[in-house]
Amino acid sequence: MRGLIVTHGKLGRALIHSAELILGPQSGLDALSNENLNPDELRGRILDWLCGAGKGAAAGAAESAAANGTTGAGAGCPALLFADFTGGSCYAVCRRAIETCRERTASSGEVGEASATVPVVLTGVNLPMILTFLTCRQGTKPEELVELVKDRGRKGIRC
Amino acid sequence: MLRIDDRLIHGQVCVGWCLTLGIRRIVLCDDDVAGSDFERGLYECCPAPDQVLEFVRIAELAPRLNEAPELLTMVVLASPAGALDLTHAGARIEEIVLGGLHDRPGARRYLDYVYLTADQERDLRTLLDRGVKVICRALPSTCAVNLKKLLK
Repeated sequence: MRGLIVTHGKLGRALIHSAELILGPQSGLDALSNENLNPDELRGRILDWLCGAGKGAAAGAAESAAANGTTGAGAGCPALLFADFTGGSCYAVCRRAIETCRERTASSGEVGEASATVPVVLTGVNLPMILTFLTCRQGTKPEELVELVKDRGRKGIRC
Repeated sequence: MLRIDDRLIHGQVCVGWCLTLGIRRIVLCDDDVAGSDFERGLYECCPAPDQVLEFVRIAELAPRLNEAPELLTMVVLASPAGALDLTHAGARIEEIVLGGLHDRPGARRYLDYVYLTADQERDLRTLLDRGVKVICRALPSTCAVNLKKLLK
């Protein structure tokens, strides 16, 4: 499963950098900022990333912390989007991009595994979520991974 | 307060303006959003728990805009054309806060967050000619710029 962190400013890139300090270099996880992009442009970049296996990174769409900027899987590979907070423009645009994917999947008549590749967005991204995503994605079913990431993200907040 | 922002409701609105100034009611005035279950569902996620969100069409809002609201309210529109439609429908608008019209093909940059197409500029000039004060301001903490001076 690959991931894209969509945030205001440089938060997404910083999360990947921090995760790589803990886990070492990673692939299949990219960051995209909404800075200087209107909502339509941002949605286009997200769709490029979803459909082009992160090749948008080469065009400046997504900024991978990995040196080569490549992602680990191609279009059709399950994708998880992370947005910074519910109600922000990044979250709204992620939802719209996912809706577009759903419509494309429906109009193409794809069923089964293909329809299961419609991405999901999680909001409130934090470092525990990213570390869970990176360490648990191998061998975990996408729907189980989403629940695990949500759970660890919540439990990572303590007082 | 009436705000024009092509992103409608987002972080700057719910957090930057409403939480900061204690605005408890947000009225999203957009015909497309009002007519779409998906869009309404999207924006329903935005407000804080103690904020009220209403969806209205432009024709519905115009008469209500002249009434004093019970709660401190922000009305959000996507475009200057919407504000002009409100005035055509009988709403009295004294001031508009231009919070964000972003770059798009054919638009001219005035500020980092204000890019105007020819149509948008024409609509804003019409509003100015009708005595509406238009202030460019992304957030309460950022400086306000009078649009009239920018369009000189």
